[in-house]
Amino acid sequence: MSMARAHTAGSHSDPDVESAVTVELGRVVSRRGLFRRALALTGAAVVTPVAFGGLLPLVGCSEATEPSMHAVLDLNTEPGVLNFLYAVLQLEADFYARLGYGWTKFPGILQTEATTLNNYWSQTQSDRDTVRTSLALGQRITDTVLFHLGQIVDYADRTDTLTNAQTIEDAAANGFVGAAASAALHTDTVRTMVQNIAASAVERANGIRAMRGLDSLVVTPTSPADIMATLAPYFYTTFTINGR
Amino acid sequence: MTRLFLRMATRVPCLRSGLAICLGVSFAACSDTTMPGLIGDGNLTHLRIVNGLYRGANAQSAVGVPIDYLIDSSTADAGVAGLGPNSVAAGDSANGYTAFNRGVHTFFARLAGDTAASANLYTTTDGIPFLPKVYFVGATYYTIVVAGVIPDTGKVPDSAVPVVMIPDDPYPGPRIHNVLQARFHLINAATFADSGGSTESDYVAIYVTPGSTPPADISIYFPLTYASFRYQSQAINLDPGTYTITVTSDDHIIAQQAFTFAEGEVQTLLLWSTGPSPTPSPANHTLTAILDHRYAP
Repeated sequence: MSMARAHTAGSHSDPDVESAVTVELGRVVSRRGLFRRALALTGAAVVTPVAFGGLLPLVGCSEATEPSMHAVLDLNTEPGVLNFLYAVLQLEADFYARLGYGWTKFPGILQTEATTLNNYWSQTQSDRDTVRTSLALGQRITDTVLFHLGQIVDYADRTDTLTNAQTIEDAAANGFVGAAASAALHTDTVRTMVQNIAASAVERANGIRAMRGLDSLVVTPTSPADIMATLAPYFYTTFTINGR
Repeated sequence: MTRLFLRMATRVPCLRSGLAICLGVSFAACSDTTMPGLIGDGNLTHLRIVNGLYRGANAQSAVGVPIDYLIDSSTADAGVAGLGPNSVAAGDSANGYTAFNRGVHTFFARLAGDTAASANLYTTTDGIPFLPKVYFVGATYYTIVVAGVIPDTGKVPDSAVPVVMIPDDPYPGPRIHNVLQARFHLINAATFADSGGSTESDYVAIYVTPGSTPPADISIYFPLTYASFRYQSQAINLDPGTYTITVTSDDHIIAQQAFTFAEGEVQTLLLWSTGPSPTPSPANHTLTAILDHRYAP
């Protein structure tokens, strides 16, 4: 229908196309008309993304073409393992960003808790950026992984906030320790970096547990693939996991 | 590039065709069903007038005074006559708002009954009254705060009573775990909240603790938000329930009251100074809750 309307629009000033309109669309079209029609579609396809950049995202809604909607983690490779850290650290940083200074928090939050959570915000941002800079642009997943935090976490409730914090931190700590032992890491400096980030995650897990009056985490090195399954409810971005 | 393409599209028939195709696809592909609608009539704006004005030679002797507030030179409609000290105009609805047409309007605040043309409390740096004009778009909500201290006689110094129109946020809180959260914001209309005796208090800190029992030591808690004098705090989202709101100025408690928030409620808390005092305390400050809106759970 759109093709027919487009063709008709072109008929007003072009005898070649006008003659074609009298027949079935696409059956009798001169070379000139064909060229023009091709130009119309090509021009629209090329120029419209620029001209209507704000509207085009509505067109696709395609998870296949939007990097924030879907990503692949190949855990058999060093970049894949680092991307696992990058995805989880983005989740942690986003979680704590909503509890940092300047943001409202759950009623009854203590000064010490607010300070700790704000420090975790800074720490996770720093670790996230460290991993990001270790990955070349073509190697790393999107810088804007998307989450369901707003639907899952009740930031107005102390218990709910800290329970989710513990779930995320326990998983991150176990997963990062597991990643540090991955055979896919073949560069010593990278392995050292992952070990340091894992140590920070363990520290945060224990800090959150202390806020809840619980014992420290007994670290269980876990494969990144299992951790991504544990944390899947928090991610709006979907992941294809290759390897463990 | 956009302009170039549009110009080309209008002149080159085949490009015009492509434009039609792409526009059609762009608008047809997806729809967002989660966008909340604005509440109220799009042709109307809503104003709520708050009087926190004091008059006196100094902070110790000043007393609250009633005001007239004229909108478009009238106390009728959205304006108000004889609005008492530390109070909110009744408006045309329970939340104190009066609805009136969007567009440009003029604003004139004066001591109640002072009908002189030069009586406007809004003044320039030379102490000369002026008539602010403001354009309001539709479906918006504002609280006008008339607060400060003016001398017993003579000109009103510049900035003693600035024009303050706070854009309110009466929209619903988030829905978490199938519960529509309540929310509130606090407007600081407390002229004497500064513990240093200044009438221009800088800001107050707002603590929210669960339950109706005030915490034994507020200093161990972290304030959820702040509000400068004549301005508002951030909106705080809360699960339905009862909370103790504690307001401090320079780490001293100046107001502490329990409030209950039902599911879907949006409230404005107004902080008042009920009398001048060099030592702000709960004895001379109070919080008033106004239910802005209650959304269906």
